[in-house]
Amino acid sequence: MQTMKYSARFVVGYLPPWLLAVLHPSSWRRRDMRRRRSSMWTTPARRTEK
Amino acid sequence: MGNAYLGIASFYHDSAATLVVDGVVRAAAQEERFTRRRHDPSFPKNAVAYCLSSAGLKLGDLEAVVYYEDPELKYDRVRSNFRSAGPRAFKAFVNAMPEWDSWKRNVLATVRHELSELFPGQSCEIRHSTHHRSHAASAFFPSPYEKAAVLTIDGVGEWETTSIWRGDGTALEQIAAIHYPHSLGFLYSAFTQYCGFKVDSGEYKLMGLAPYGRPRYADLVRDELIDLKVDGSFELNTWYFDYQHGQRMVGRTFERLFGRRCRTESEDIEQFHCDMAASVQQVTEEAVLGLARHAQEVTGLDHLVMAGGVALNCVANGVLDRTEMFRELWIQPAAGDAGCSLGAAMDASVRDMGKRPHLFTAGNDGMHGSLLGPEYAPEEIRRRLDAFGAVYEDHGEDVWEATAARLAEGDVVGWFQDRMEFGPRALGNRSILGDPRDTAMQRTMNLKIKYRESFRPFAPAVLDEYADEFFLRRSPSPYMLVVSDVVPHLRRETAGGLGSINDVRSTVPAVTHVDYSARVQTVTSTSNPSFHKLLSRFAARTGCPVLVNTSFNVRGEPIVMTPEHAYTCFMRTEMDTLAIGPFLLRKQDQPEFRDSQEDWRSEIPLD
Repeated sequence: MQTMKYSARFVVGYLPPWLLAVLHPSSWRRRDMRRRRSSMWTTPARRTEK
Repeated sequence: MGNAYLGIASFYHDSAATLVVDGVVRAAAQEERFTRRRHDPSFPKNAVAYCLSSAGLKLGDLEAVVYYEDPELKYDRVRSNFRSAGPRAFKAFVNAMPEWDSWKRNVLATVRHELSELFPGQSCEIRHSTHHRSHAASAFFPSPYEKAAVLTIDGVGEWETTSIWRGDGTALEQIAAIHYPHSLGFLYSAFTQYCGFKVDSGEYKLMGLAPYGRPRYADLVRDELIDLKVDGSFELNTWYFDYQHGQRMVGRTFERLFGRRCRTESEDIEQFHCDMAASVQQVTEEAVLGLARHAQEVTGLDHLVMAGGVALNCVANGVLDRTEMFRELWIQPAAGDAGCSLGAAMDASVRDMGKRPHLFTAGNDGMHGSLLGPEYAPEEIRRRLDAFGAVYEDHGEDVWEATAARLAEGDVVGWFQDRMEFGPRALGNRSILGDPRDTAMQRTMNLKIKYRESFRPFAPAVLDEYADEFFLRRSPSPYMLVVSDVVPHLRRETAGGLGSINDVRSTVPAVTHVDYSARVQTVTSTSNPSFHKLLSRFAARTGCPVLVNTSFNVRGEPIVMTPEHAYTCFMRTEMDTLAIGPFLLRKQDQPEFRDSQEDWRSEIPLD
C-alpha cells in the first residue's frame, strides 16, 4: 500500500521536471559538463537572492 | 556548573555526543564504542548518558541540546535530487521517502522523544545548526588560533559539500560554498567503491593503497570526471556517477570509462586498483590545494583550520602543509561527522560565552589531546579483570618501565590508559604498540593482531623533541593527521609497487610506507603525559623514541572502550602483553578464554 502511495506520488509530483529531463536531448548523450561555468563557488548573498 | 550545551550528531553515520561547558569541551564520545557497531548511525543514547554523567549533569541543567544539521534543508535537497534525477531514481525514491516523511524531516521531534526516554520527566530546549557550520565550528573554535581561514570538505551536508569560512575570535562567517552534487568526498568514495572497499569506511584503505600505484589515470579523471576551475572550485561530471539515483556511487558508465568492472571484496587487489587509488589521490590533492588557495585569497589569513571527512586524508594534508601556503595548519581530530556534535555544541557555547577560554593558555588547542571519552579507575579495572579470572601483576607507578621493557623485548602490547580518544584515531590511550625497528612487525600486526590486509601501513608515535631526527615535518602533528616523509638518510632502496610490501624500507620499517611516508603522531608531555612517559622509557632503553601505534581493535571492530573490550581483544588475538591501568598481563599466564561469541570473526563485519 505504502509502495503504491509513494509510486503515485513520484509519478504525480515529479512528472513534469523529469519528463522534461527525459525529453531533453542532453539526457541521451554523454554530457560534457566541463568548462560550462567558470566558478562553482556560491556566496551566502547569492543564495539569498536565489 | 556554568552554561552547558550538548551537541548531537546522528542518524546517518558516526553518531556522537559532546558536552561543552562555558566554551570548554568536557566530554565527547562516539556511539559505536558503546554499541560495538562500527559507524553506528543510531541515536547516541549511550554517548549522551556518558557525557552528562561525567559532568554530573541532568538534562534539565543544559542550556540547550544542539542537533548538528538542518533537517528541513536536507529534506529540500533530497526532494530536489529526486526531481532532477528523473525515472532512474524511482526505486530510491520509494525506498527513501517514507522514512523522510515519517520522521527524518522532523528529526528534532525524534531527538526530543529519545531524550525523554533517556531522562524521563526532564526537558530542555532543542535547536539545530547546519552541517557545514558544525564542521567549521569544530575546526575553528577549538583551534589554537585567534583568526583563521576555515575549510570544510566532505560528501554532503544539507546542500553544501565544501565551504570556506572566516574565523575571527568568537565570530564565524561563511564566505563561499560549493553545492551538491559537486562533491570531492563523493569523488573519492566513488573510487573507494570501484576498488572494492566500503563507502564511508574504506576511504582510508584507498589512501593507503595509493603509494603502491602510479597515477596513470589522473588525466582521464581530470578530463572526464572532475573539472578543476582556476579559482579552486570544481565541477563533477555527474553523468558518470550513480549517487543521485540510488545507493551506489558508480555504475556501468564509470566501469566503461576505465574498462573494468567494480572489484568485489573477494577479488584480489591488482596493480590496476593501486593505479586507480594513486590517480584519485593525486587529483584530490590538486583539488584540496586549489580550495586552500582560494580560502587564503578570500580571507587573507595565514592560518588554516580544516574539518569534514576529506580532512582525514592525511596524505593531502601533508602535501598542503609542505607547500607552506599557510603558516600553520590545524585539523580537527574528529574531522568526520562525529566531530559535528562537538562543533554544534561549541558554536552555541562560544556564542553564549563570548570567548574561547583555551586561547588564554598559550599554544594549546581546546581539544585536550582529543582524550575526551570514558576512563576507568584502577580499582574498577581490577574488579573487571577479576571477573574474567585474568592473571595480572600490579606494577603501580612502574607500569611505564615494565611496559617499555616488554616492548623492547619485541612484544606486541595492548595499551589501555586514562580517557578514550574522540575521533577515528587511537592516540596512545587505546592503542596497540610495537617496536618500529622490527622488520616483521608490520606483517605480524596486520595478519596476526588486526587480521587485515597486509598492504596497510602503521603509524609512528614519536616524542616531539626527536621527531625531526626521523621525519621531515613542518609542524607538530598531535592527532596523526598529517603525513611526513622519513628523513632520507634512514631510508633503504626498494623496488616499489605491490611486490615490495615486505621490503625493509628504512631503519623504522614497520612505520615506513612504500613511498617512504609516515602518518606521524608527535607526542608532547602536555598533549598526553602518560604516553609521553612510555615513549621516553622506551627511548631510554633502546635509543629509539618511536613506537608503532595502531588502534586497539581488530579489523571491522570499533576501538575498545572498556576493560572488558580490551581483555577480550587481547585474548582473541596474538598480542603478547596487555598494559591496562597499572596492571600488566602476559598472554601465556592467562586462563583459557571462553569467548562469548564462538565465531567472533564472522560476527564482526568486514570494514
